[in-house]
Amino acid sequence: MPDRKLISERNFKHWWSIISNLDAPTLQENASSLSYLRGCEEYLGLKRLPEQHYPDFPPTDLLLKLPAFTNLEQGDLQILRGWLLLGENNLQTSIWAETLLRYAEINQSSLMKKAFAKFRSIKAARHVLLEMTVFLLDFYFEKYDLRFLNLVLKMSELRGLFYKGSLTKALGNNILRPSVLLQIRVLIMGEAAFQKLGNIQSL
Amino acid sequence: MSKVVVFSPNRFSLYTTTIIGMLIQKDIEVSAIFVRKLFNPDRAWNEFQRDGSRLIKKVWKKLILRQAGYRPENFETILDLRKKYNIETTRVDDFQVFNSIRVSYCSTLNDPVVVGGLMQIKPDLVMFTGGGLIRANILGNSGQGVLNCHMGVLPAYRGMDVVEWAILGGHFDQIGISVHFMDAGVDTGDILRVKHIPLIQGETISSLRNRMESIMCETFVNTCLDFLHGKVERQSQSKLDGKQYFKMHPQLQKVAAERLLLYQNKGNHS
Repeated sequence: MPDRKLISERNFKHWWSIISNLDAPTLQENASSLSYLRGCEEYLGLKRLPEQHYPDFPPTDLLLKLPAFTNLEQGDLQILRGWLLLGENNLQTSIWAETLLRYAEINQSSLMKKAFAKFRSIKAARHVLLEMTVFLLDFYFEKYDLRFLNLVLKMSELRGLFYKGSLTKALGNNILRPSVLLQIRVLIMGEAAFQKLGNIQSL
Repeated sequence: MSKVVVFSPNRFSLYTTTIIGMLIQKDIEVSAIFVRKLFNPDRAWNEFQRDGSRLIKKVWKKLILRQAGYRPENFETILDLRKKYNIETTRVDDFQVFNSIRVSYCSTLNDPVVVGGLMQIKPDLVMFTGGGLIRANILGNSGQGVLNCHMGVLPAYRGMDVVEWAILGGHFDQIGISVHFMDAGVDTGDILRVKHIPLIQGETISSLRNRMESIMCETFVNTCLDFLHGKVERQSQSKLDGKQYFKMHPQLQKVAAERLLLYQNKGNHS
C-alpha cells in the first residue's frame, strides 16, 4: 500500500491534542478556522471538536461584484464560505470558486507577489491567500470537484504561504494566530481528503 | 489545391515531423512551417515555473532522447507509424532542404513574422502541433482556422493532463483525442472529430500516452484531409459543456496511476 500521507500522523495528532484542549470561548473565537471540518478530524481518528457557530457576516455587496481576484477584498472569502455552508447564492459562489481556481492556477508562481501588490502588506496578502485556500477546500468538499483539491495541494506547498515546520512550535507556545489555525485546517482537511481519495477500492 | 501551414513547437519535434511527413504523402500542400526558436529565456522560465521538474523530464525525453526514448511496444508507437509512412526526417528544417517548404523561425507563434507570413501565404488551414497560446491576430489570418489535436475528449476534458484527470475521475470511457479549431478559450473551439480510445491490457498512463501519440498523428492528418474535402463538419461547443483542467499534482498523479491499475486488475480493458 503506497504512503497516503501528505503530513505526518505524528504532526497532526500533536497539533490536534493542543487544539482539542482549547476552552469553549477560544474555540468559538476561532470558529472561522475550526468549525465545520466536515468530519475530517474523525476520519483521521482525531477527537471531534464541540459544535461552534460560524461567525455572522455583515451585509455585503459581494453579489454586485464581478468575480475576479482583483476585486476580492478581505472578508469576502468568509462570506463565500458562509454562503457555501448555508447553500445560499450557489451560482455566484460557484462562479467565484471557478474564477479563483483559474487565477490561482495560472498565476501560481507569482500568487504571493500579486496578493502583496493588491493588499499592500505581506500579512494581509498571506491571510487572504490562506482564506482562499480554505474556501477552495470547502468548495471541494461541497462539490467533490477534484480540480479544487489539486489546487489546494499545490497551494499548501507555496513558499511563503505555508510554514508546516513552525506550526508545532507556534501551537506549543499557545500562539493561536488565524494564520496558524487556517494552515492547520487546510492541512488536516487536505490530508483527510487525500486519504479518502486514495482509499477508494471500488470504482 | 488546398494550402496548409504548420506551427511547430521546436525544430526537433517528432510529432511535427511525423505529421508533416504524412501530409506530404497524402498530397496536401504544406506551404510553410513556422517554428518556435528553441532557446527563449522568458519562455523557459515561464515553463519552468509552470511545470517545475517535469520540464526537465520533458526536455530530456523530447529534445535529448527523442527517438531513443521509445521502446518496442505491443502497440503502434509514433516510431512504428514513421516506419509505416517511411518518414525519416527528424528535424523540421530538413523539409526546407528536401521538400522546398518554407521554414521560418520565431520567438513565439504570435510574432509579427508569423502574421506577415500568413497574410502573404493566405493558407486554407493552419495545423498546430504545439507551441503555446495563439492570439487573435494569428487566428484571424489562418484561413478556415487553426486546427489542433487535443489529447482529451472534448468538450468534457479541456486543458492539461486530461488523460490523468479522466482516469482519476473514474471516467475510463472518456479517454481519447479530439481534433478541434482553436479559439480565444482553452480547447473551446469548434470540434471536428472525437475519437475515444479504449484501454488495452497492462497499460500504464505513460504507455497509454505513447499509444495515443501515434493515434493522434493519424487522426489529425485524416481529419484535416476530410475537412479540406468537405467530409467533416464543425460542431460548436458551449463553454458550459466541459471544464478546464490544470497540471495535476504529483500526489494525485500517483492516485490516478493506482486507479488505472485497479481498474485493469478487475479485467476492464479491450
